[in-house]
Amino acid sequence: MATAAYPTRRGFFTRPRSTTGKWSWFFTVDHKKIGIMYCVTAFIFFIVGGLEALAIRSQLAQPNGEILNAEVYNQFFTMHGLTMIFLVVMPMGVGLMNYLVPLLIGARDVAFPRLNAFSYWVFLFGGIFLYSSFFLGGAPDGGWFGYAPLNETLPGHGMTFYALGLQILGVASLAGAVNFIITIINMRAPGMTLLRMPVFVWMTLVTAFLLLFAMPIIAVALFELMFDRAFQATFFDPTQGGDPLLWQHLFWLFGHPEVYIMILPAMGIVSDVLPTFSGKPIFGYNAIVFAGAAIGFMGWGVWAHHMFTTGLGPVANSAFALSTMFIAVPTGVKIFNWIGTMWGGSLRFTTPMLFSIGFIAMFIIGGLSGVTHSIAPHDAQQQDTYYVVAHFHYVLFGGAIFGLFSGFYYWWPKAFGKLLSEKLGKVHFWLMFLGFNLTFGPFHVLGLNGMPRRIYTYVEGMGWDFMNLLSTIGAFVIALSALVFIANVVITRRRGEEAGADPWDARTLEWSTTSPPPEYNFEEIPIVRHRDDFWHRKYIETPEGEPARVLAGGAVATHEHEAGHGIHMPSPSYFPIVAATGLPLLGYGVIYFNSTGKALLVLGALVTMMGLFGWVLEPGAEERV
Amino acid sequence: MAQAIGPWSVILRSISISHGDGMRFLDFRQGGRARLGALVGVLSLVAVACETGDAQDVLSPAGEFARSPDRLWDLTFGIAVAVFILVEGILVFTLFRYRSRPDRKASQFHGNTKVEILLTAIPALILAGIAVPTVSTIFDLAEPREGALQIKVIGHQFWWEYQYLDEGFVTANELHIPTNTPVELTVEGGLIDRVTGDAQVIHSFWAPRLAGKQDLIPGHANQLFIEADDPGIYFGQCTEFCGLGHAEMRLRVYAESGSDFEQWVSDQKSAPEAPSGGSLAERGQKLFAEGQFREGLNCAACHAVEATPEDVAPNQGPNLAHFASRDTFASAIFKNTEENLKAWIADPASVKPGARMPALGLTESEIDAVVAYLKTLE
Amino acid sequence: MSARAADDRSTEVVLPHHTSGTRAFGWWGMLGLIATEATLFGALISSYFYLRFTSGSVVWPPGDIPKPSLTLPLIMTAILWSSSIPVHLADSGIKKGKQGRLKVGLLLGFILGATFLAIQIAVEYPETLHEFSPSTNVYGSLFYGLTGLHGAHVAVGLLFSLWTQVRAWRGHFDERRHVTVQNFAMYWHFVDAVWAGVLFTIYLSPHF
Repeated sequence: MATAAYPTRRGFFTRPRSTTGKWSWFFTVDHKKIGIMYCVTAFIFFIVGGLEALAIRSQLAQPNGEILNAEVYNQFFTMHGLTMIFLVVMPMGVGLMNYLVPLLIGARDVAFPRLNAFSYWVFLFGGIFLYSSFFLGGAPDGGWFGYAPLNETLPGHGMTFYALGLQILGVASLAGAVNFIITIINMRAPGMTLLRMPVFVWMTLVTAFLLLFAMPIIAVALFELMFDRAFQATFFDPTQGGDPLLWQHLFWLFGHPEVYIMILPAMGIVSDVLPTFSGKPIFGYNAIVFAGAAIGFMGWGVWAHHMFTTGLGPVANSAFALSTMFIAVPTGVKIFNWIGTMWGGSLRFTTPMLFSIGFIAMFIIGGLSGVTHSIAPHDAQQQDTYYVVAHFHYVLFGGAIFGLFSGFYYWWPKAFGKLLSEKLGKVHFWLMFLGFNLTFGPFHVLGLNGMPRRIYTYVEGMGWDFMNLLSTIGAFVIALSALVFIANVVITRRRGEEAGADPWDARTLEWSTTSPPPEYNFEEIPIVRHRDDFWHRKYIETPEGEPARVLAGGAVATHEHEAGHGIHMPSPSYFPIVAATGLPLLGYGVIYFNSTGKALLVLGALVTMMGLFGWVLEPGAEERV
Repeated sequence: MAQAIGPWSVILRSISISHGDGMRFLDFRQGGRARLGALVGVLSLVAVACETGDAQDVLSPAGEFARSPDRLWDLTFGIAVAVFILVEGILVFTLFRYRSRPDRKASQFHGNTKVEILLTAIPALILAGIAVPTVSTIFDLAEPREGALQIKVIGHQFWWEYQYLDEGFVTANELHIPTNTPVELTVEGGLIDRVTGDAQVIHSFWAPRLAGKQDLIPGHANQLFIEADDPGIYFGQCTEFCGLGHAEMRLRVYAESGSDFEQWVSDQKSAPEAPSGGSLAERGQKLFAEGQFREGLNCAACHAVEATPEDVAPNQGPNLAHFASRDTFASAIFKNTEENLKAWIADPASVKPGARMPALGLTESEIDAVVAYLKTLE
Repeated sequence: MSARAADDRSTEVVLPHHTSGTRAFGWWGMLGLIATEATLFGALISSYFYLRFTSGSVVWPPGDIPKPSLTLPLIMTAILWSSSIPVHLADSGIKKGKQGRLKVGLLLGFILGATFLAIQIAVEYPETLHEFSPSTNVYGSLFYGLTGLHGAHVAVGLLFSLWTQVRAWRGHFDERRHVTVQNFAMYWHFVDAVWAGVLFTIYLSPHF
């Protein structure tokens, strides 16, 4: 790139300059900083959602529990679900995508850095908005899928917070989705063909497409709910020709792809971690990529399996039973390919590897219980019982959360330059693995023994007491494991082992730059010649077909004296955070639709407009000194 | 693991237990068997397949409409366990066999098309094998049944209303059916909840040992068949989250042999005897029907004591005809004892969250009289 | 084209996102937005037909609501769709560097779009609100929900147009750099195209 000084378009505003220090985080457009903020925020919400879970489990530890009353319990289980889905698993995935996708494809940033910052701030403000409901008369209390018409008849503002909060979070997801699609399509390094991309990038692409088409569907459902609640429209009111089932169709048409939105990034992580620690390339790359895409497509055709008990009729039930069974095929392909990746390898059981293996082992269970849901006549027995709760925790905790932790341990040294303690990491893994199975394993038994979900209490003598107690103990073991992780982070910050650029002997491009990477990621945009390009720079194949280390292959080029000089990066910006601030104000305006509320609506609209106008009118870049 | 416990022992046990003072919740204790079953369940997932014989045990079907899904379950669960053992076994084997050792070199292969095709085809074939009986069971369960008893089920916040369409009477929460007879439940969400004036919300009728659940959706009428082979009490509850009282929206199905059921039907149709003059119960009847309590309301403003005809008015609250013959009240969560009734009438929402029945502010002696009256509604 | 435009270019930062054409990030971004917006309208239109056919009402619109008249909507359609022509001419004009065509085209498009919106707000809604509101029944909810959402898109399009025009007058565009114009045109055409769905669903379909 030319080193000539960049002339600056004179705009109405100057752009912030500093890229270090406390304030730089507020205005940063660096995908790595945004990725870290996403993950940290999501982890805080993970703690909050976990505390809600502990309260729920404490209430259910014994029959006739008296820790939470029905009112608080309903708010807690609703917020636990919303938090874990919209404020933890999704943003953690997005955080890792943010940090990694440019690094993995050899780019310097995402396509729209400011839009990326905007996504983060909207996500953060949306989460705070949703949680503010606790202090404003009560949180949403209709369950995370908030069925109509209960979502309209519940008193208070809780479900209005739900309708608007999810709408705001949807804006963040959509902006992120567009950003990732364009980044992946347009910004790959020379030679990084689609079929050379790391699997994580592929899964990001599929996830982004799912978001692009799933979010508007729930947007419509929430739009209709908001109009019903706030302005007495009648979309779901059967007395005026509306239909509660419309909500279910729209919700699950979004909701099932949403499940894959949560799990595919974790599958991508596992697909990149396993080859590294097996010392061999992924087994059946094409199949694993194709299976991911197939899951993405088939995910649109299974939504009514959430509605087997709503009386859709035998034809529809049969069709959705079949589609649900056969979505297990591409899922199975992935599992076989992961095992195939380890087969014949030389397995190093590091913490990220353990979490990835845990993911596979638990996902098998979740997948198999998923198949048992597909037999519609028996699903009528499983629906809305703890058996289903067991299933989706095995998929989303045993699956997604384990996968995400695998990613955290794997990429931590890249992001912070220090290795997390392996010793504590293993304690963390085993505690979490044990606690997880202790918590959610008994749910299978409880569900089949007739315990419905979302009940704040049960009587003794149902045969549920022991399993519930076991599960509650397990929940506290999980909490302990989370504390171990936090301790690990704190200790590592103080005196962690220096990681170096490539601590795991890994395979993909992010390990070819320093840890942490410079703001511009790569001194020179890499030229890619292979899948697992970095590995091929380090190893050549001997005539016997064995890899042999290349001397100094894959060394990180550091030209200290002129590092980064002349590489132009987008400047920080004030406006993403300003534009994002307006959205929750609009939300409060709709909720309190009196004179204050109307003032808030105007204010929110003004702030957002100001943010957007500042955004488009600020100078293209500030000259870097 | 164990054969189902005789349903009659369930009745005996459920009636015999109480704990503490104040409101007595019903108890479904079945002895140590459940705990044993639970323990085994932890040790091995396979134990899940075993019946526990508990009150709402999905795996102890007691009639045809629970049994055919159960057969499907047995097949699918068996296959799932086999696949589980096989795949997790291969996983664990791989981890041991290929763990890093000083002399281990990772072999560098990228895939194996034949193996991959095979491993795609096998699950697809297995699933096709499950698909066939699944589809046939779905259609089989939807078949209309000749001569089925017709009952309409309506869900309220938070109790159940049953309308015996052929017989023309109404009852609440405790459903009585004849054994060995298919019963067609028309589960219907009404439009406006008569109690709240709001749109009704979705409930789901579920008595696990008799059939899978079916949702009651406002504006939709769904069909659900249940049948019990043997006499007994079959427990169930609402399984679609419906608000504050969701956990305490339980139900019971009493299956009775043909003649017992006939007897019950004719009892239901008969008018209750008037309480004898001058008794406490007579005073209670007056308070029930004519009392002027909070906002001028009395019990009869919402509760009818005549079971027939089906559109009997008023019908905001559960129909109380033959109330004294019921084992439970408030959606099958409290034993029908005087003590419980008194606590309930004094302040319903304090003992059952979300209960829509208002506390009318009766004095203790008034409550005693009303309870005495209720006890005469044999 | 002119020396002035060339000057402007020299003070503009040459970054990838200021390029135009089918590989420009902005083009992809607008495509993504349109894809997601199309799904949004698709879901709402699906809601309309779902509710129409499950409402159990033989007559549609239900209640005493008369079938929508066609005169005004067809006039509105003519106005809205004709606005695409000047916008297209503006877009194709700037690709050849024709600044005048750009400015006039954008202005004409703006006037037509604003006329459409004004008719909707000042003529159509007062008439229909006389007969039914969003809370009358589900038809009312659908009518105002769908037309209102479309109207909101027209309003956003007008704001977008305004900003594009300001930049056009400031001379920010030329035959090489006009991604904003291109994006605006894409968005505007989309809003016009989706009107076909609204027209069919809301105004025509009740007559069948």
